[in-house]
Amino acid sequence: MKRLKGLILFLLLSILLGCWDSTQIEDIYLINSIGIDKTEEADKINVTLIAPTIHPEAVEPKADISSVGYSLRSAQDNIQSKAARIIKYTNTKLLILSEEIARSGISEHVDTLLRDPEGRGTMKIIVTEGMATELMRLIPPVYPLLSEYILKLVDQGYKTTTIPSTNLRSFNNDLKSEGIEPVMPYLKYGNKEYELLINSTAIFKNDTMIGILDNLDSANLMILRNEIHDGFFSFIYEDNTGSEGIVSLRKIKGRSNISLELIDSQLNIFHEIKITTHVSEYTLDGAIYDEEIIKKVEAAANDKLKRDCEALIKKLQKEYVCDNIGYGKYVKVYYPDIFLAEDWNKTFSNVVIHIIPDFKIEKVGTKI
Amino acid sequence: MINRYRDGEITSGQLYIMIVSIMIGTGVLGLSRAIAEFAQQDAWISVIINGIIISLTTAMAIYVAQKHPEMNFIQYTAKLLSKPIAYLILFTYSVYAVLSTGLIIRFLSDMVGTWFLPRTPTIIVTFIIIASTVYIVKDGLTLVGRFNEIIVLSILSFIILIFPSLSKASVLNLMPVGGSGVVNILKGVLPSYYSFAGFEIVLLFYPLVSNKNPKILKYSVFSILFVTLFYTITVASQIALFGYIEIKDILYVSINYLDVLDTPVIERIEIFFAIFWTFSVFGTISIQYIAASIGLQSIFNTKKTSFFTYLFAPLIFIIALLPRNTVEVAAYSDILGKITIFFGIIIPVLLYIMYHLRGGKMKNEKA
Repeated sequence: MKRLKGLILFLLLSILLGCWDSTQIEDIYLINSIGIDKTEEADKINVTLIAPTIHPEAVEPKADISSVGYSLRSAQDNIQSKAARIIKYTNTKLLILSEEIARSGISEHVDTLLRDPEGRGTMKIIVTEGMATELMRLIPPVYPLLSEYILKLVDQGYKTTTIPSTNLRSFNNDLKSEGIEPVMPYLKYGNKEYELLINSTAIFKNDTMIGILDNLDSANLMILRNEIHDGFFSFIYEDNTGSEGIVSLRKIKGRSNISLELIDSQLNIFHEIKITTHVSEYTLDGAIYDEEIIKKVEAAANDKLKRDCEALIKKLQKEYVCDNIGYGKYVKVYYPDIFLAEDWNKTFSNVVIHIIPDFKIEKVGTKI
Repeated sequence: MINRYRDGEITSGQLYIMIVSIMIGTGVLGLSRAIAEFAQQDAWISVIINGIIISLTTAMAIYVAQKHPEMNFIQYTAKLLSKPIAYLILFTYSVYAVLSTGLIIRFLSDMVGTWFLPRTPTIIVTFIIIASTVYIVKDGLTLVGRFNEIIVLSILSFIILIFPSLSKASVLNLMPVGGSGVVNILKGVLPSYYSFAGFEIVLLFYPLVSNKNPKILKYSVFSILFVTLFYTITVASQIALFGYIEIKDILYVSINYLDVLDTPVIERIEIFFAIFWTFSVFGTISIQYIAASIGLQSIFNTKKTSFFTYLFAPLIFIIALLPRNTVEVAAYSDILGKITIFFGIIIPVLLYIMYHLRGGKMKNEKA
């Protein structure tokens, strides 16, 4: 009986050994980033995967493999046949979409990546000008892996209130929610080799990219989407004497407050934006350390933000007919009778939006 | 006829813990999806309504049991509803408990197969779960009670993990409050009831509490209200994050809820959650399993529950392997969920009414 018990115990233990099918890290391509491009064949896509080589004797720090397929997974299947190691997505942090792919709709790729539990909902997404494959071949001077470099750029852009930080989950959330359309960072090439600029935002209607908001518009979109972090707000200021100079206010914190009102059957949206700032630059002669002057600078900042935001809203309403700010979510809640999800973008284009900025200068820096 | 304390007894504290432990299990993963399908942004209101209903029926069940301190479930049910009906109820309950254990085990192995061991055959995962459960349950209720005292701590991690993702949530997704309409909110009560299933064990376990005292009723209801509060916060925060439209597409909402932030130190916090969740489901399985064993032990008057524990093992193994896929597991669970209405609502109410009818009669006789 004792022997039998011993045998059963031994057999059970052998099942419970967790390491029997373990895979060594040298046998895995831990995919760091995925790139998707269009191909000449309309129904096929080109997928590029990048993984660190890890092997100490490897010539390159990374391995990039591309293949064509009908979908993300069918292309991966073809890639696997070219790769000497098992492809794993557990550490994939970046999805790069070419502009062409973004403009043809991306929901199927997002769905595939979210469905697989191996992937991560926090995987960041960007759109690049040109081909994703070409971008992924670059080796940036300061980081061994391009994806790390891009992720740092996105992170900095987000922290300075310039671009959104879109990941699979947040994109899908905007895509599925009624009354808001998705956005994501847009990468451009700079003038120098390896200079990558991420200070623009690609705007989407449903899952399809419809336009690009450059630098200033991109930053203002962030403010309107209530994503106010660090970063500077610079403008030309004219003082009492008529002389002009540049004032830069560093954003410390900010928040939006949106209220709605029906005035003569016309929907009016009142968007208050409160931003607390510190003076970081004041190139005019004379001091700013004066209550009156501070109030004037605040008023000038308010005026500038109001004008810029109104211009951006006009662009979204008339040129793109697309509510990427998410006013529809408020209308859905407060005026459900006039909110029709499928027609919201059209309704949005006729809504009267009042931007009410409220800059507050809290500190003036170390100089008077 | 039947010795109450033959196979171990539990303390009142362990009873409260087991009420919490059996209710927080598989249901927590997809609860908000199931309710939001009907009650939309007001799913959390359905949970509260359901919690109140269950608190009432639990109070009724314990009230009746408290009035029969020297009897076990089958004895006082026989007294109130006649012997054949009592045996029939207990037998049906045991069958239900066995089926339920099998399905929960399958749910757990599907989840383990999806997230941790995609290449390990379901049969192996299921076998290991059953073997571990049998090991926990074979020594009777006392040990299951102690096991759950430890396991219940994993729920603390669920509560803590609600907070990080809240930074990405929006109150707008929960508004307008009541906007989905009274009918839809009430429709959402039923799916939320399924997630609370299991509380009916108080019928069976109360007679086995060694330190019975008048406060058990109050604290048992508190246990249910604690679970209600936990589920309400869980559902509200998940809907606030995803919105009721996106949530309809997500199978394991509680796990994906954690997959929205990059967290320091623990890179994939959802895996961390899944580990604790696995333990918590073991709590549910062990209680459901011992409930089935105690049920049949009461009917057949055997010396130990372990006889039935071993007897059920192959049966549960087969039941767990019967569904072809995750979709069928959900379909069978829905059917089983409907059956719990009988044990969780109808039986306690019936016993309560019968107690008062009979009690009134007895008082008249005495007079």
